[in-house]
Amino acid sequence: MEKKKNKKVFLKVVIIGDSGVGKTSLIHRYTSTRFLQDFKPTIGAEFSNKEVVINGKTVVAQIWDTAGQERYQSLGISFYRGADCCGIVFDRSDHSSFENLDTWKNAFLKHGAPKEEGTFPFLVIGNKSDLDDGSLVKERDAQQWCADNGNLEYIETSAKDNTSVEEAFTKLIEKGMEREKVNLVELPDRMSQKNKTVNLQRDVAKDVNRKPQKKKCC
Amino acid sequence: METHSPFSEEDATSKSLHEHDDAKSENGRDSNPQETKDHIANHKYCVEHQAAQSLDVGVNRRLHSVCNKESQHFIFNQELDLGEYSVESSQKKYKKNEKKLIKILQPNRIKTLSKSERKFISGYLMSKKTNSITEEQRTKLWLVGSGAETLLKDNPGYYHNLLDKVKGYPNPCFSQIHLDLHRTFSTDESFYTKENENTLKRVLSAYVLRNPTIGYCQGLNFIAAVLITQLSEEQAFWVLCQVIESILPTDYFNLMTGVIIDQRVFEELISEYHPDVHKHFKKHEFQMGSLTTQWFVCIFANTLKLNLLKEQFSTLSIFDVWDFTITLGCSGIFKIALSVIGYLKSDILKIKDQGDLFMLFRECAERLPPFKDLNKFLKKFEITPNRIKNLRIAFKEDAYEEFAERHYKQTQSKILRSKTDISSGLEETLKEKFLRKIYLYNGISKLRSQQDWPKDILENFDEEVVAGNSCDTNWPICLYDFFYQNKIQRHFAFKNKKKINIIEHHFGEPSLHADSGEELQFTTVKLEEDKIDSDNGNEIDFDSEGDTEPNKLDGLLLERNIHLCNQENFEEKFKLLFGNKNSEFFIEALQSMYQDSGDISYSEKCNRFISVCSMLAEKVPLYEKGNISKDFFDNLKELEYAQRKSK
Repeated sequence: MEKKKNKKVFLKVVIIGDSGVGKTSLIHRYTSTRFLQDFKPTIGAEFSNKEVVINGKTVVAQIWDTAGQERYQSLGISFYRGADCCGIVFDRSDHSSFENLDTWKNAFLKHGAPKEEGTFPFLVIGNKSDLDDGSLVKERDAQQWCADNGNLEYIETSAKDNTSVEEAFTKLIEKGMEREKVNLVELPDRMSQKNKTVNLQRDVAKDVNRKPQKKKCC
Repeated sequence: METHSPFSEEDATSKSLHEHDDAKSENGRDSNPQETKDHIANHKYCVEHQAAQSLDVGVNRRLHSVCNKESQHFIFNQELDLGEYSVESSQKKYKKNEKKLIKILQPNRIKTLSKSERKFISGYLMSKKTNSITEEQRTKLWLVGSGAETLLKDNPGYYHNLLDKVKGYPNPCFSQIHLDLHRTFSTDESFYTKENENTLKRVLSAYVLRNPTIGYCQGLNFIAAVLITQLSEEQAFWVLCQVIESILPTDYFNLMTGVIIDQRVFEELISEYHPDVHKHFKKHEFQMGSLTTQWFVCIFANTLKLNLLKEQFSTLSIFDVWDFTITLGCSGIFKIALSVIGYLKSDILKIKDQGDLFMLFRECAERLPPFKDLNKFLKKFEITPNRIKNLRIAFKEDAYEEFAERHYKQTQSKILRSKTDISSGLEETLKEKFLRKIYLYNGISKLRSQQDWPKDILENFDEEVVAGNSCDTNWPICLYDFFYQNKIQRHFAFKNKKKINIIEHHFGEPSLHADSGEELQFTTVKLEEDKIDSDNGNEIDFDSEGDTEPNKLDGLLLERNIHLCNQENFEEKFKLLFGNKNSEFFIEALQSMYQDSGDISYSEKCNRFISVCSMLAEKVPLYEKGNISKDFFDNLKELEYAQRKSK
């Protein structure tokens, strides 16, 4: 057991959603524990790492931040590949960003082409909860959407107030790790898929880590 | 440091010498040091002789070089530092060059720069000995370098005409612009003022009307912001037009296939000039594209800082980068990007983690040296516009193919989805959803969504909403053209003097409506054959000698789409777009919409619309009309089949 703790798990986390919903702010809040009032729109994609310990395992979350404007999707598609989990963010004060959730989900499934379309771990994140003037997207509606779209999990956050940001990412990472376990059986196939975007060394690290895991879950 | 002018013939000699030198040092510098040294010294001698400098100086330096125990490269660089001997003569030369620059960029100049002038200016900009250009010269350089000055002169009132039309023109791009205004250099106090924000908004909005195909793309905000710091509002608008339409290649900002292609070109150039970096990236499977896209999309504006208040730059200045890019065109961006990679090389090669790599690139603004210190890199790259053009052509097919396949799937599913949305339901929720989509299209969704709507959607329509649904024939896109989003993606449109040019299927997509295109696209203007190869109508030919004036524009809007609402056969076309079931849906929605408005001015349009819808409701089989292509129905059937199958 002692040995296992030192091995790192690498997870690819992709954050998508409409422009201006606060994807970059959330990631920034999580990775550097700060909130920056004035952000630049993300052009193309950004990337950051965060190392966390979850359930006694050291996990390196490789978080991909993507551009929100729809036309940037044609550039961002390669970043979706090999993702272990995906956070879809909407702005609770902007109903159209909520409307677009299924566009994003479909785009991700299509271009990321994960093996398990029906069960791929998504987390729906309703951001900007701090702007409550009574007209926010209601939790009930968001939960309903999630229920209708494959029982996804939903969480409300505020990057500004630092409400539930940590929780959201922890959940995402946990989901990603669950998926890792489930996919153990299909390892060779998955590896080839992953290699497209993630560097080899990491996969080796993952591979090493998987073996003890396997014992545990079987 | 350099001794000889980069503008005259000596430059070529020094360049070849430099290359020779590089080659030598790479091929093992100890093989025959004495011979190499002599060789270089001889070369040096010739150069100096040409430069009409004294023999004594040459001998002196030759001795110096032989004594030097450092690498050949180092010797060469050392030697370039002439020291006091030639100060006088070189100063004379630089004085002369400065005078020449003043003459080229004189305040009343309108003519676009010629090729030789571009060559001179780029050399001037790179040279370490010359002063930086003045603010006035920079303004002029951007105007005559981009060709904007000519357009400005030939199209008086065009910009203000566009601005008049912006008012009331509903377009989703405006809300995106609004969203980005607060995020454009907003932490830079020297830039971020209310005034600048408004200027930026106007310039970007005007471009949405000029070319609705592009509308607004994130990244343009940074470009426009840099422009308004140096130019007047109207000048900034025209330079923006030229940056998008002439300097950058086709489709940088619409579907962004241009960016995808350029990333491949850049990777190719990296593998040629920085093979070690290329290898390193391959080894660790880093994606070059994700790191450098923004350099190209924003011409470094998103990467570097504005620093408007600083007089002297200790780091790479965005303005210097732009001077160079506007002078040399796209090849300038490639050269700078390669130089930046060259400068960061030692750091890049140490990095094994993608996150660190992103960090390095994100923070490179602080590390990069002033422009003139990059010149040792800049000079190494022999990248002509023609070279770039050929590389682009070489990668075009691949990129398009990949893109088209992906895009085809996407479009298909999009159409399928919207068709499902519309036809499957007169249920209340779907109806609301669909109507909200109309609002979205009309750019007022934000406004509506902030109120707690729609409980009873039909009661909530007010005049503003109805106004949002009326169409003005001055607008570039007809509002009744609801499928605009779906079909416009296949075009790249711009207008030059006499005609609107629409490059159909410019990325070679296997179109859904390839044959019935005419009916569905509502455009009467076809691409002229001779325009197919040239990327853009008012392109500046950076590679040809002589006068290169961009084509003149007339003072009209870019009428990409013929107005659906004003056309004779509006009914058929409308029918074609929506089909029977959808029309029923429209009748209901629109009738209520217009009834509630009580505004007489819309009644005519409304009646027309409703009569169309009623006609559609009669369920006349669509294919009975002769002008509807069979292909369209085949496609439709396919879609419906897929739809049924998915259920």
